[in-house]
Parts: sequence; structure tokens; C-alpha cells
Amino acid sequence: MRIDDLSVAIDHLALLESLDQPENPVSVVEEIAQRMFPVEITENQKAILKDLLIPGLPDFEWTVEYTDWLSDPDNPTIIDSITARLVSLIRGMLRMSESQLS
Amino acid sequence: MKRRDFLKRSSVLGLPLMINGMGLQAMRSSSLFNTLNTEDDRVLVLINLNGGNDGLNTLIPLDQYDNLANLRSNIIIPQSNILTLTDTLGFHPALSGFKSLFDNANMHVVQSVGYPNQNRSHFRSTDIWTSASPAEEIWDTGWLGRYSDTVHPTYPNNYPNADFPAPIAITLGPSSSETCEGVAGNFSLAMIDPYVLNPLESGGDDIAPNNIYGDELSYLRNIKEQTNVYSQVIHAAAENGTNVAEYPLSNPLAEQLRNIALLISGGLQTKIYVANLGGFDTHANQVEEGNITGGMHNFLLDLTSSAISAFQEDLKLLGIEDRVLGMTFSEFGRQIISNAAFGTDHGTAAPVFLFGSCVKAGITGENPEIPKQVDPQAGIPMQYDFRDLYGSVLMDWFGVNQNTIEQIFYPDFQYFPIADSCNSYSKNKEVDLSGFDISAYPNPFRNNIRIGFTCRNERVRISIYDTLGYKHLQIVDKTFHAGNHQFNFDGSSLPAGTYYLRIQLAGARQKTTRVIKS
Repeated sequence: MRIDDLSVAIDHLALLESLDQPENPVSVVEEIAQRMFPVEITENQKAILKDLLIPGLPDFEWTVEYTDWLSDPDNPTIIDSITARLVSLIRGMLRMSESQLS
Repeated sequence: MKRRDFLKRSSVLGLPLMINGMGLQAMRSSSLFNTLNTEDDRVLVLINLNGGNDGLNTLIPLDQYDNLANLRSNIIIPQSNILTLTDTLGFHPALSGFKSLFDNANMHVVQSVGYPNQNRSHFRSTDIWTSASPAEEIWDTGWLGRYSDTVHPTYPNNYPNADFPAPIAITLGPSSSETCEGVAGNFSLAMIDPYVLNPLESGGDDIAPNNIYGDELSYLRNIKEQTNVYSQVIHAAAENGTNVAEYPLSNPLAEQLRNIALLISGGLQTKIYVANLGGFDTHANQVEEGNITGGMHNFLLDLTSSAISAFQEDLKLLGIEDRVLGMTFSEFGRQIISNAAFGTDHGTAAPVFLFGSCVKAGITGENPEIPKQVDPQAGIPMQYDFRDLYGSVLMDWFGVNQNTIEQIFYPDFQYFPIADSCNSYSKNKEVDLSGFDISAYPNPFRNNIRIGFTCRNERVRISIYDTLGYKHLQIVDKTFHAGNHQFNFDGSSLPAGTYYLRIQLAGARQKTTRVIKS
């Protein structure tokens, strides 16, 4: 899956499931960034993006929340919360001019 | 509305104002009349302590110290280090700045703030605290967004404009706070500082490479900078403003608050600022092994306290302290029992701190009751609903009427006083909870328990919660006449265990008392 057609609504959870390491927030940022940007973004940018995914929290809390979703995949509040974090991350990426270059 | 604001508006609208004619209709009547209710130059600063702050090691109930010392022996602050506020309450030693604010009548502490049916997920509970929804419902707007919608119903169409040239709200950080999400968009501009509005957009310190790709990247970044409709007004305010106090260095919260003071002093009309400090998720090494007043929590509380006290000092020296009210929040408190990793796990209610020269100084609420033994996952029972706190802030600070507050939050909204006359040097005191009590007998009980209370002529609500923060039953919700009342409650349907009876009378007279079903 590539995020190159923004006229199509992004299915955030499907995107998450398509990643190699969806349980690891560093990988989540890294893998989505690879699909989003034509070149490697900087470590500084990755750090800002990771803080959009898990604001003020240690990495393992992403794993905890992701695991909670796996164990209760139809729970609407969990779906909503995880989706909101992914929306925050992807909107941050879309703000970057790098996402307009290919 | 202040006179100068009225004159400014009048000149924009053209005089004379006609009450029945076209003049009135042509002037975006809704926004004018809504802002008539507000104090136009007041600013609210919201500080999000991400991760779930351990309220029990922040604001320490001294009358519960012995039991706390048993339940969290590896992290409890030694009594001799606690900064005493009252006979029964003290601050963590890192909060010397808070202590000064408290002693100078610039701080209001609200005890045990939470919500029914506490969710202990960071993500979900943050969503609840930012949207101010009931725990069972998903709302896609934030509480400050819904408030802003009542003042700016057509936003973002024709914004900025002559009346509102500045962002309605600003989040200090790379993304807009969910608290400011309105029906048609987020009211807050996200910025790192007045000159680097958004490092993701502008590139921040990451300079574009020197090649064709880099040239195009710079081009796009420049366009974004130029098309940011607010960049000029923010730059102008930053140039026009100043900071007088010294802020602590290497303190991210201090840097955010310094920029907020700079922009307010520079005349920016933004009414809401949201700042952030992360790291409060102290599962491990909340305190340092062998050095209980060191460690992560000490570090974070020092950042918070020194940043806020410098900010307040700056506002005072700048002569704008009467215009600013600040409030902290965190998605939950932590469990009463500490863990083996010198930390604490996700809990329930926790104190909230309001600061500013216009706060009603002192403490609202009673100390939580810490029994000798508690369930392993027990948190602090809620005494005040965070939606009542938020709504009371909007009523006291922005002059919002109670009907609107009930629409923004919930029909059962209950007001309690937050702000006071500015610069009142009245002695700090606890809110008067006399003539108000709840009793329960026998306790422990088997099936039936007799609940007694004293009230005025008023609505009385009594509900029963478990130690995880779940509301099991609304026992009573009706109006009683003044006096003492007693009734039997049949609790035979409840599983054995520890519960909290929560009684809500008018205003801040709300408390919880522990009962045990055997």
C-alpha cells in the first residue's frame, strides 16, 4: 500500500496492519515515512513525528495500546483511540513539504 | 466587554448601531453578542502533563501518611522533606515554586479530579480529558473547540478578520491540541516558537540539501511560510512583546510559557494557549533507588513548578497577571500501591492545579482516605468531575452562561467557584464544607447499609463506585428539604469488596466515603 492517492480516504488500521512491525512505534514512523517520502527524513523529523504518535509517552505504551487493540479488535473506543494517534502522525507527515515531492 | 474593545468594534462596524435595522444584521450578530458575555482580554493557559501524573506524591495527604507509607514504602517522600501547605496537606519537595504561588494566594488546588468509569488507557483517557465526553461515548470535538464554536460559529470561514486577526488558540508544539477541535476545524495554530511556527512545515533545523530536490523542498517550505495567514501577526506580537523574569534553562515547559508570555505582552489577541510536558508515565524509576527525592518524578515536578512560577513572575512584572489563568491536567493519576520498579501504574483521579492572580486561592475538596489495605489496582476515588471543573473555569473566566456550559459538557453540570477577585490577598483557606457530611452504618455491611446525610434545600445525588473508578449505581438523585436524612440501601446485588459512596450537593460540597461489603 502506498499513500500516494490522497483523494482516497486512508484506512488507518489497514495501513497499520500492513506494516512489518506495527507494535513498535519507531518502526511505525519509519515504515510509513518510507512510503510517504521520496527520501529518508532526518532523525529530528522522526522524533517529532513519533511524538505525534505517542505524545509524551515511552515507546512501550504504544505496544501496550496496540496489543489491547489486537486482543479486542472490535472495541470502538480502542479503534477510535488508535486511529486518532495514526491520524495525528499522518497529518504531521502531510504538513511536511517532503510529502509533496516524489 | 471593555470600553476600548467596544470602541474598536464600533469603528469597524460603523456608527450608529441600529438595533432593529440592517446595521445589526450586517454585523455578524452572533459573534458580537456572544462575546458580549466574555472578558475580552482574558487568556486561559492549559498545561497538559502527558503520561498520568502521580497525584499522591505531588500533593501529599499528611493525615494519611502512615497508611501511604506502608502501601508505597519504596517511593513515599520522607515527611521531613514535604513542603507543608496546611496541617493535613503538603507538596513534593520539588514544588517550591508551587508552594510560593500557594502562599501568595496565586494557586487553587482541586483534589481528586476524575470522571465516572475511569479508562486506564493513555490514548483513550487523553481523548476523554480533551473531548470532555462521557467515558462511554466518542466525541470528535474538544471542550475548548466547542466553547470556541459558541463564540465563532462561522469559523474558519473569513478568519482571520479585522475583529479577530490572531489565532483563536495556540498550541505550543508540532500539532494542534485535540482540546481545540471544533465542529469545522481545529481552533488552534500549532507552533514551536513565534519564528518557527511549525518545524514540520518549515523544516526547522533541518536545512534542505543542496541539490534539485533541496531547491524544490525550499520552494515548498517558503510557500507554506508565506501562506500561513497568522505568521505576520505572530511575528509582530513577538517583536512588540518582551519577557522580564528569568526562566529556568533546559526546561521545555518554561520555553513554551516564556513564548506565551511574550505573545500576550506583545498584544496578540489569542485567548487560549495549550502547553505540554511529557514523561509522567512513571512505571519505573519514579524515584531513584536509594535517593527517594531524586528520580524522574522529582525532575518533572521541578520542571513544572519552576516553569510555572517563572511564568507567573513574568506576568506580574509585565503587569498582565490579571489577564491570565492557568490550569494543569493529566489523563489519570496513578495507583495507590507502588510497584517493585520504584514506580507506579495507571490509576484514576488526581489533583488539578490552577494558578494566576485571579484564582480563588486555596484548596477545594478533602484529602482522599487511604485505608490500611487496598486492592492492588486501586486508584483514588473521584471527588470532582473534570467536566464540572472545565465548565466552572469557562463560567468564571470567560463569562459563559450555565445553559451554554450544559450544552458544551453535560446536563448534570455542577458549578463550583474557581476564580475570585484579582489580587485578593485573603488568607488561603479550605472551602467550607461544614454542615455537610455523609455517614454509613454498619460498615462493613452485609446486605443493607443505612446512609445518612445533612443537606440544605437542594438536589442530592449519591452514587456508589468501586476502587477501579466504575460507577455501579446511582442510589439517590432528588431534591431534599434542609436537615438530616437517613435511608436504607439494599446492596445485596453488589459483589463483596470495597466501594466508595459519592455524595454531590450544590457547589463544591462533594465528597466520597469508603464502605466495605463483607
